[in-house]
Amino acid sequence: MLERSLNLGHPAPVTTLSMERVDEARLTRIVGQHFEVLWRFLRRLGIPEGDIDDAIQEVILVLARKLEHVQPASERSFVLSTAFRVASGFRRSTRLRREVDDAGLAELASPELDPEAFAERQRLRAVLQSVLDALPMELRAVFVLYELEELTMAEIAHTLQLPPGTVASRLRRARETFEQMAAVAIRRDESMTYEGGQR
Amino acid sequence: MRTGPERLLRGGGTSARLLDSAGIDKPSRASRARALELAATAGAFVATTAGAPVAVKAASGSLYKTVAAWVCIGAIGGGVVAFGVAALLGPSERPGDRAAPVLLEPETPRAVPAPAPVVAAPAITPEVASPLAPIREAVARKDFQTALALLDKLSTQSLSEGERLEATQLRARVAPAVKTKP
Repeated sequence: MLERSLNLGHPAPVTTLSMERVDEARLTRIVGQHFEVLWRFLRRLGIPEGDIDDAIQEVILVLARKLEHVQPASERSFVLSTAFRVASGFRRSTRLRREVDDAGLAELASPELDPEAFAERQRLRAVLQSVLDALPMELRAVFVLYELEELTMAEIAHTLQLPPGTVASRLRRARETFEQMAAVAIRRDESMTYEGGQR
Repeated sequence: MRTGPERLLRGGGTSARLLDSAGIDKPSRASRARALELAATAGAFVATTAGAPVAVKAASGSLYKTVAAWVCIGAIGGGVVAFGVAALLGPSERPGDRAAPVLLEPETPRAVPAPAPVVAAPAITPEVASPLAPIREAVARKDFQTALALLDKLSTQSLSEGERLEATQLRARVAPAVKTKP
Protein backbone atom coordinates (compact mmCIF):
# COMPACT_ATOMS: atom_id res chain seq x y z
CA MET A 1 0.00 0.00 0.00
CA LEU A 2 1.28 3.45 -0.82
CA GLU A 3 2.32 5.93 1.78
CA ARG A 4 0.20 8.96 1.07
CA SER A 5 -0.89 12.01 2.93
CA LEU A 6 -4.50 11.95 3.97
CA ASN A 7 -6.16 15.31 4.00
CA LEU A 8 -9.12 15.04 6.33
CA GLY A 9 -10.83 18.22 5.19
CA HIS A 10 -8.04 20.52 6.34
CA PRO A 11 -6.25 22.97 4.07
CA ALA A 12 -2.95 21.15 4.49
CA PRO A 13 -2.22 17.49 5.14
CA VAL A 14 -2.35 17.04 8.88
CA THR A 15 -1.23 13.46 9.15
CA THR A 16 0.46 10.78 7.08
CA LEU A 17 -1.25 7.43 7.17
CA SER A 18 -0.39 4.14 5.55
CA MET A 19 -3.49 4.04 3.42
CA GLU A 20 -4.77 5.16 0.11
CA ARG A 21 -6.72 8.34 -0.04
CA VAL A 22 -10.45 7.68 0.15
CA ASP A 23 -12.45 9.24 -2.62
CA GLU A 24 -15.15 10.55 -0.33
CA ALA A 25 -17.25 12.08 -3.08
CA ARG A 26 -17.47 8.74 -4.89
CA LEU A 27 -18.10 6.90 -1.66
CA THR A 28 -20.93 9.23 -0.72
CA ARG A 29 -22.46 8.85 -4.18
CA ILE A 30 -22.33 5.05 -4.02
CA VAL A 31 -23.85 4.96 -0.54
CA GLY A 32 -26.60 7.39 -1.54
CA GLN A 33 -27.36 5.50 -4.71
CA HIS A 34 -27.48 2.02 -3.20
CA PHE A 35 -28.55 2.79 0.33
CA GLU A 36 -32.12 1.50 0.00
CA VAL A 37 -31.21 -1.79 -1.63
CA LEU A 38 -28.45 -2.26 0.93
CA TRP A 39 -30.83 -1.57 3.80
CA ARG A 40 -33.52 -3.90 2.45
CA PHE A 41 -31.04 -6.68 1.69
CA LEU A 42 -29.55 -6.56 5.17
CA ARG A 43 -33.04 -6.51 6.68
CA ARG A 44 -34.13 -9.51 4.60
CA LEU A 45 -30.98 -11.37 5.60
CA GLY A 46 -32.18 -11.17 9.17
CA ILE A 47 -30.41 -8.14 10.62
CA PRO A 48 -32.78 -6.59 13.18
CA GLU A 49 -33.62 -2.95 12.63
CA GLY A 50 -31.85 -2.05 15.83
CA ASP A 51 -28.56 -3.39 14.41
CA ILE A 52 -28.96 -2.37 10.84
CA ASP A 53 -27.12 0.95 11.20
CA ASP A 54 -24.13 -0.93 12.61
CA ALA A 55 -24.22 -3.39 9.72
CA ILE A 56 -24.45 -0.55 7.19
CA GLN A 57 -21.52 1.12 8.87
CA GLU A 58 -19.45 -2.04 8.46
CA VAL A 59 -20.35 -2.22 4.79
CA ILE A 60 -19.40 1.42 4.25
CA LEU A 61 -16.06 0.96 5.97
CA VAL A 62 -15.24 -2.06 3.83
CA LEU A 63 -16.31 -0.10 0.76
CA ALA A 64 -14.10 2.83 1.80
CA ARG A 65 -11.10 0.58 2.24
CA LYS A 66 -11.50 -1.13 -1.11
CA LEU A 67 -12.98 1.72 -3.09
CA GLU A 68 -10.06 2.01 -5.49
CA HIS A 69 -10.51 -1.59 -6.56
CA VAL A 70 -14.25 -1.35 -7.14
CA GLN A 71 -15.11 -0.93 -10.81
CA PRO A 72 -17.87 1.59 -11.55
CA ALA A 73 -19.96 -1.15 -13.19
CA SER A 74 -19.65 -3.39 -10.13
CA GLU A 75 -20.55 -0.92 -7.42
CA ARG A 76 -23.94 -2.43 -6.58
CA SER A 77 -22.55 -5.96 -6.72
CA PHE A 78 -19.75 -5.00 -4.39
CA VAL A 79 -22.15 -3.34 -1.94
CA LEU A 80 -24.46 -6.36 -1.92
CA SER A 81 -21.69 -8.97 -1.66
CA THR A 82 -20.17 -7.05 1.24
CA ALA A 83 -23.59 -6.83 2.85
CA PHE A 84 -23.97 -10.60 2.49
CA ARG A 85 -20.66 -11.21 4.27
CA VAL A 86 -21.48 -8.68 6.98
CA ALA A 87 -24.89 -10.26 7.53
CA SER A 88 -23.33 -13.73 7.74
CA GLY A 89 -20.95 -12.40 10.37
CA PHE A 90 -23.84 -10.86 12.27
CA ARG A 91 -25.64 -14.17 12.32
CA ARG A 92 -22.58 -15.95 13.66
CA SER A 93 -21.98 -13.37 16.34
CA THR A 94 -24.07 -12.94 19.44
CA ARG A 95 -25.16 -9.58 18.20
CA LEU A 96 -28.03 -11.12 16.32
CA ARG A 97 -30.97 -10.91 18.61
CA ARG A 98 -34.12 -12.74 17.73
CA GLU A 99 -36.52 -10.11 18.81
CA VAL A 100 -39.55 -8.40 17.42
CA ASP A 101 -38.14 -5.12 16.36
CA ASP A 102 -40.64 -2.56 15.29
CA ALA A 103 -38.54 0.48 16.07
CA GLY A 104 -38.84 1.87 12.57
CA LEU A 105 -42.47 1.12 11.97
CA ALA A 106 -43.60 4.65 12.79
CA GLU A 107 -41.81 5.75 9.66
CA LEU A 108 -43.31 3.01 7.54
CA ALA A 109 -46.82 4.40 7.54
CA SER A 110 -47.81 4.76 3.94
CA PRO A 111 -50.11 7.65 3.11
CA GLU A 112 -51.79 5.63 0.32
CA LEU A 113 -52.98 2.89 2.64
CA ASP A 114 -55.83 3.12 5.09
CA PRO A 115 -54.93 2.00 8.63
CA GLU A 116 -56.61 -1.38 8.24
CA ALA A 117 -54.84 -2.23 5.00
CA PHE A 118 -51.60 -0.99 6.43
CA ALA A 119 -52.03 -3.20 9.51
CA GLU A 120 -52.71 -6.18 7.23
CA ARG A 121 -49.56 -5.57 5.19
CA GLN A 122 -47.60 -5.06 8.34
CA ARG A 123 -48.78 -8.43 9.63
CA LEU A 124 -47.87 -10.10 6.36
CA ARG A 125 -44.50 -8.43 6.44
CA ALA A 126 -43.84 -10.02 9.86
CA VAL A 127 -44.86 -13.41 8.45
CA LEU A 128 -42.60 -12.88 5.45
CA GLN A 129 -39.67 -12.07 7.68
CA SER A 130 -40.27 -15.16 9.80
CA VAL A 131 -40.36 -17.34 6.68
CA LEU A 132 -37.18 -15.73 5.34
CA ASP A 133 -35.49 -16.20 8.70
CA ALA A 134 -36.22 -19.92 8.44
CA LEU A 135 -34.41 -20.21 5.10
CA PRO A 136 -30.73 -21.13 5.17
CA MET A 137 -28.53 -18.09 4.56
CA GLU A 138 -27.17 -19.19 1.19
CA LEU A 139 -30.67 -19.89 -0.15
CA ARG A 140 -32.08 -16.74 1.36
CA ALA A 141 -29.51 -14.47 -0.26
CA VAL A 142 -30.25 -15.82 -3.72
CA PHE A 143 -34.00 -15.75 -3.11
CA VAL A 144 -34.07 -12.17 -1.82
CA LEU A 145 -31.89 -10.86 -4.62
CA TYR A 146 -34.01 -12.55 -7.27
CA GLU A 147 -37.53 -12.23 -5.91
CA LEU A 148 -37.40 -8.96 -3.99
CA GLU A 149 -34.53 -6.99 -5.49
CA GLU A 150 -35.24 -8.39 -8.96
CA LEU A 151 -31.63 -8.93 -9.94
CA THR A 152 -31.00 -11.24 -12.88
CA MET A 153 -29.41 -14.61 -12.24
CA ALA A 154 -26.21 -13.40 -13.91
CA GLU A 155 -26.09 -10.41 -11.57
CA ILE A 156 -26.63 -12.68 -8.58
CA ALA A 157 -23.86 -14.99 -9.73
CA HIS A 158 -21.54 -12.00 -10.06
CA THR A 159 -22.60 -10.54 -6.72
CA LEU A 160 -22.30 -13.70 -4.66
CA GLN A 161 -19.33 -15.03 -6.64
CA LEU A 162 -21.16 -18.23 -7.48
CA PRO A 163 -21.29 -20.33 -10.65
CA PRO A 164 -24.50 -19.73 -12.62
CA GLY A 165 -25.60 -23.33 -12.12
CA THR A 166 -25.34 -22.96 -8.36
CA VAL A 167 -27.46 -19.81 -8.46
CA ALA A 168 -30.13 -21.62 -10.46
CA SER A 169 -30.20 -24.65 -8.18
CA ARG A 170 -30.23 -22.52 -5.02
CA LEU A 171 -33.03 -20.40 -6.40
CA ARG A 172 -35.09 -23.47 -7.25
CA ARG A 173 -34.61 -24.95 -3.78
CA ALA A 174 -35.27 -21.61 -2.12
CA ARG A 175 -38.51 -21.09 -4.03
CA GLU A 176 -39.77 -24.56 -3.21
CA THR A 177 -38.95 -24.16 0.47
CA PHE A 178 -40.36 -20.66 0.58
CA GLU A 179 -43.67 -21.63 -1.00
CA GLN A 180 -44.16 -24.55 1.38
CA MET A 181 -43.29 -22.51 4.43
CA ALA A 182 -45.30 -19.50 3.28
CA ALA A 183 -48.45 -21.59 2.91
CA VAL A 184 -48.05 -23.01 6.41
CA ALA A 185 -47.18 -19.63 7.93
CA ILE A 186 -50.13 -17.87 6.31
CA ARG A 187 -52.58 -20.57 7.47
CA ARG A 188 -51.19 -20.40 11.00
CA ASP A 189 -51.31 -16.61 10.99
CA GLU A 190 -54.88 -16.50 9.72
CA SER A 191 -56.07 -19.03 12.29
CA MET A 192 -54.41 -17.01 15.05
CA THR A 193 -56.00 -13.83 13.75
CA TYR A 194 -59.39 -15.54 13.60
CA GLU A 195 -59.03 -16.88 17.15
CA GLY A 196 -57.96 -13.45 18.34
CA GLY A 197 -61.03 -11.92 16.67
CA GLN A 198 -63.32 -14.50 18.26
CA ARG A 199 -62.12 -13.70 21.77
CA MET B 1 -27.20 -17.08 -18.84
CA ARG B 2 -30.89 -17.81 -18.79
CA THR B 3 -33.18 -15.07 -17.52
CA GLY B 4 -34.67 -17.28 -14.84
CA PRO B 5 -38.17 -18.28 -13.84
CA GLU B 6 -41.07 -15.89 -13.49
CA ARG B 7 -40.83 -14.02 -10.23
CA LEU B 8 -43.15 -15.19 -7.48
CA LEU B 9 -44.28 -11.63 -6.84
CA ARG B 10 -46.03 -11.60 -10.23
CA GLY B 11 -47.34 -15.14 -9.98
CA GLY B 12 -50.19 -14.45 -7.56
CA GLY B 13 -51.10 -16.65 -4.63
CA THR B 14 -49.81 -16.81 -1.10
CA SER B 15 -46.18 -16.18 -1.93
CA ALA B 16 -47.03 -13.09 -3.95
CA ARG B 17 -49.09 -11.67 -1.08
CA LEU B 18 -46.24 -12.18 1.32
CA LEU B 19 -43.60 -10.79 -1.01
CA ASP B 20 -45.78 -7.80 -1.81
CA SER B 21 -45.88 -6.91 1.88
CA ALA B 22 -42.13 -6.29 1.77
CA GLY B 23 -42.87 -3.08 -0.11
CA ILE B 24 -43.76 -1.24 3.06
CA ASP B 25 -40.34 -1.92 4.55
CA LYS B 26 -38.27 1.15 3.92
CA PRO B 27 -35.31 2.68 5.68
CA SER B 28 -35.92 5.78 7.71
CA ARG B 29 -34.60 9.14 6.60
CA ALA B 30 -32.51 9.28 9.77
CA SER B 31 -30.85 5.99 8.90
CA ARG B 32 -30.05 7.24 5.41
CA ALA B 33 -28.68 10.50 6.78
CA ARG B 34 -26.43 8.63 9.20
CA ALA B 35 -25.07 6.45 6.40
CA LEU B 36 -24.34 9.43 4.19
CA GLU B 37 -22.70 11.26 7.04
CA LEU B 38 -20.50 8.25 7.67
CA ALA B 39 -19.60 8.00 3.98
CA ALA B 40 -18.65 11.67 3.94
CA THR B 41 -16.20 11.18 6.79
CA ALA B 42 -15.17 7.65 5.95
CA GLY B 43 -11.53 8.64 5.52
CA ALA B 44 -11.18 9.25 9.23
CA PHE B 45 -13.02 6.04 10.07
CA VAL B 46 -10.87 4.00 7.73
CA ALA B 47 -7.75 5.57 9.18
CA THR B 48 -8.88 4.55 12.65
CA THR B 49 -9.79 1.03 11.68
CA ALA B 50 -6.67 0.67 9.53
CA GLY B 51 -4.66 0.85 12.76
CA ALA B 52 -6.29 -2.26 14.11
CA PRO B 53 -4.69 -4.78 11.75
CA VAL B 54 -1.31 -3.15 12.39
CA ALA B 55 -1.78 -3.78 16.10
CA VAL B 56 -2.72 -7.37 15.39
CA LYS B 57 0.34 -7.79 13.17
CA ALA B 58 2.58 -6.39 15.89
CA ALA B 59 1.10 -8.80 18.38
CA SER B 60 1.59 -11.77 16.09
CA GLY B 61 5.13 -10.56 15.31
CA SER B 62 6.02 -10.53 18.99
CA LEU B 63 4.52 -14.01 19.31
CA TYR B 64 6.84 -15.27 16.58
CA LYS B 65 9.80 -13.66 18.34
CA THR B 66 8.85 -15.30 21.62
CA VAL B 67 8.53 -18.71 19.98
CA ALA B 68 11.85 -18.25 18.15
CA ALA B 69 13.56 -17.16 21.39
CA TRP B 70 12.27 -20.22 23.23
CA VAL B 71 13.36 -22.51 20.39
CA CYS B 72 16.87 -20.97 20.54
CA ILE B 73 16.98 -21.35 24.32
CA GLY B 74 15.89 -24.97 24.01
CA ALA B 75 18.49 -25.73 21.34
CA ILE B 76 21.30 -24.12 23.32
CA GLY B 77 20.21 -25.84 26.54
CA GLY B 78 20.00 -29.19 24.77
CA GLY B 79 23.48 -28.72 23.33
CA VAL B 80 24.94 -27.88 26.75
CA VAL B 81 23.27 -30.92 28.35
CA ALA B 82 24.47 -33.20 25.52
CA PHE B 83 28.00 -31.83 25.86
CA GLY B 84 27.90 -32.41 29.61
CA VAL B 85 26.65 -35.97 29.22
CA ALA B 86 29.32 -36.72 26.59
CA ALA B 87 32.02 -35.25 28.83
CA LEU B 88 30.85 -37.46 31.71
CA LEU B 89 30.64 -40.64 29.66
CA GLY B 90 33.73 -40.06 27.48
CA PRO B 91 36.60 -40.54 30.04
CA SER B 92 35.10 -43.66 31.57
CA GLU B 93 34.98 -45.39 28.21
CA ARG B 94 38.44 -44.49 26.99
CA PRO B 95 40.60 -46.76 29.26
CA GLY B 96 38.43 -49.74 28.41
CA ASP B 97 38.89 -49.05 24.74
CA ARG B 98 42.63 -49.02 25.08
CA ALA B 99 42.80 -52.13 27.20
CA ALA B 100 40.66 -54.14 24.81
CA PRO B 101 41.32 -53.26 21.18
CA VAL B 102 38.42 -55.45 20.11
CA LEU B 103 36.14 -52.68 21.33
CA LEU B 104 37.55 -50.45 18.65
CA GLU B 105 35.36 -52.14 16.07
CA PRO B 106 33.12 -49.81 14.03
CA GLU B 107 30.10 -50.58 16.22
CA THR B 108 31.59 -48.60 19.09
CA PRO B 109 29.44 -45.54 18.20
CA ARG B 110 26.57 -47.30 19.99
CA ALA B 111 28.06 -46.03 23.24
CA VAL B 112 27.90 -42.47 21.95
CA PRO B 113 24.87 -40.43 23.00
CA ALA B 114 22.80 -39.73 19.90
CA PRO B 115 22.18 -35.98 20.46
CA ALA B 116 25.87 -35.07 20.50
CA PRO B 117 27.70 -37.09 17.87
CA VAL B 118 30.17 -34.29 17.23
CA VAL B 119 31.29 -34.27 20.86
CA ALA B 120 31.66 -38.03 21.05
CA ALA B 121 33.42 -38.48 17.71
CA PRO B 122 36.96 -37.38 18.72
CA ALA B 123 37.09 -40.10 21.39
CA ILE B 124 36.70 -42.79 18.76
CA THR B 125 38.20 -41.78 15.45
CA PRO B 126 41.85 -41.43 16.60
CA GLU B 127 41.68 -44.88 18.12
CA VAL B 128 40.31 -46.49 14.99
CA ALA B 129 42.53 -44.68 12.53
CA SER B 130 45.67 -44.80 14.61
CA PRO B 131 48.72 -46.39 12.96
CA LEU B 132 49.67 -47.65 16.43
CA ALA B 133 46.71 -50.03 16.51
CA PRO B 134 48.54 -53.06 15.01
CA ILE B 135 51.44 -52.45 17.37
CA ARG B 136 49.11 -52.39 20.34
CA GLU B 137 47.57 -55.61 19.14
CA ALA B 138 51.00 -57.22 18.80
CA VAL B 139 51.88 -56.07 22.31
CA ALA B 140 48.63 -57.45 23.62
CA ARG B 141 49.51 -60.82 22.00
CA LYS B 142 53.00 -60.47 23.58
CA ASP B 143 54.44 -60.73 20.08
CA PHE B 144 57.14 -58.20 20.93
CA GLN B 145 59.29 -58.86 17.87
CA THR B 146 56.49 -58.05 15.50
CA ALA B 147 55.67 -55.03 17.60
CA LEU B 148 59.26 -53.84 17.45
CA ALA B 149 59.41 -54.46 13.72
CA LEU B 150 56.25 -52.43 13.26
CA LEU B 151 57.62 -49.70 15.44
CA ASP B 152 60.77 -49.59 13.35
CA LYS B 153 58.73 -49.30 10.18
CA LEU B 154 56.58 -46.57 11.62
CA SER B 155 57.24 -43.12 10.32
CA THR B 156 57.17 -40.82 13.30
CA GLN B 157 56.45 -37.82 11.12
CA SER B 158 52.94 -39.01 10.35
CA LEU B 159 52.12 -39.36 14.06
CA SER B 160 50.55 -36.82 16.28
CA GLU B 161 52.34 -35.69 19.40
CA GLY B 162 50.32 -38.03 21.61
CA GLU B 163 50.92 -40.95 19.30
CA ARG B 164 54.61 -40.22 19.15
CA LEU B 165 54.68 -40.29 22.94
CA GLU B 166 52.76 -43.55 22.97
CA ALA B 167 55.11 -45.05 20.34
CA THR B 168 58.08 -44.14 22.52
CA GLN B 169 56.41 -45.77 25.51
CA LEU B 170 55.66 -48.90 23.47
CA ARG B 171 59.24 -49.08 22.22
CA ALA B 172 60.51 -48.71 25.78
CA ARG B 173 58.31 -51.62 26.80
CA VAL B 174 58.98 -53.85 23.78
CA ALA B 175 62.70 -53.36 23.22
CA PRO B 176 63.90 -54.80 26.55
CA ALA B 177 61.62 -57.80 26.10
CA VAL B 178 63.11 -58.55 22.68
CA LYS B 179 66.67 -58.15 23.94
CA THR B 180 66.13 -60.42 26.92
CA LYS B 181 64.79 -63.18 24.71
CA PRO B 182 67.43 -65.78 23.80
